[in-house]
Amino acid sequence: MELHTQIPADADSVAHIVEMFDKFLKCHRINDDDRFRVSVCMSEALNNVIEHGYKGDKHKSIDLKCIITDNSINIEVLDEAEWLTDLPVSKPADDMSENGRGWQIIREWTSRIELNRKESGNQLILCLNRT
Amino acid sequence: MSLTHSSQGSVLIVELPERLVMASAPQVRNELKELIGSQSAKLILDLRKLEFVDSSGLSVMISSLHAANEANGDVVLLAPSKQVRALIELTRLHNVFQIFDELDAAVSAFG
Repeated sequence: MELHTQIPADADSVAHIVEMFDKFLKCHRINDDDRFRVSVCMSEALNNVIEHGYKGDKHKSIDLKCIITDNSINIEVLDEAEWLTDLPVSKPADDMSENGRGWQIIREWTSRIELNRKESGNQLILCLNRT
Repeated sequence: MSLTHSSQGSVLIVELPERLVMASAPQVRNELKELIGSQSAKLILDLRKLEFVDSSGLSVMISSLHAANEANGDVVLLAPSKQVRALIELTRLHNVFQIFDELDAAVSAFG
């Protein structure tokens, strides 16, 4: 099963689409724990594009796909930002730091992370094992 | 958005919304700082209605703790869901916040 859409690069659109994809997962009987993990990772990946890839440029868009297989749930995020040379290093935030937890969460909750350069930008693939 | 809040003695209890994400984080952050400044720095963040939170929402919680600490107060968390608690523990915030399942215990934490 697969759901594919394109959204404007703003925080309200991210909030809306993460809720919509959660409903899609619920319809396909994905359990509460897995849905939560997928939604958080999706939210972190999309927020990262908006904040760091597009630097707040709301005129750009993000392509988002979610694929459910028997064993995993895969999220694909395609942006049109400058090429990333590598994935951000996961630095566990200082306990009292207000920021820096997004990539820590993604790395902890995914079984595989793939970053591919595309003509238009970056393709990020996050794979989460179903429990 | 206006956060629902109440008091028990000098302890301020603020309900977080169902979803706390990047879109809503700035407003919730500002409202919490305003409440801490105007009402009390002994703050219980009531997570009973919080269904979804990402790192932006966690950042709001830490921000409120900084504001409370600056006013010689503290912040504790009340009743996160299983999933929210898993995220809190993954990010080691259970080392930063005391977490209570019951409101009376959370209020008692402030003496």
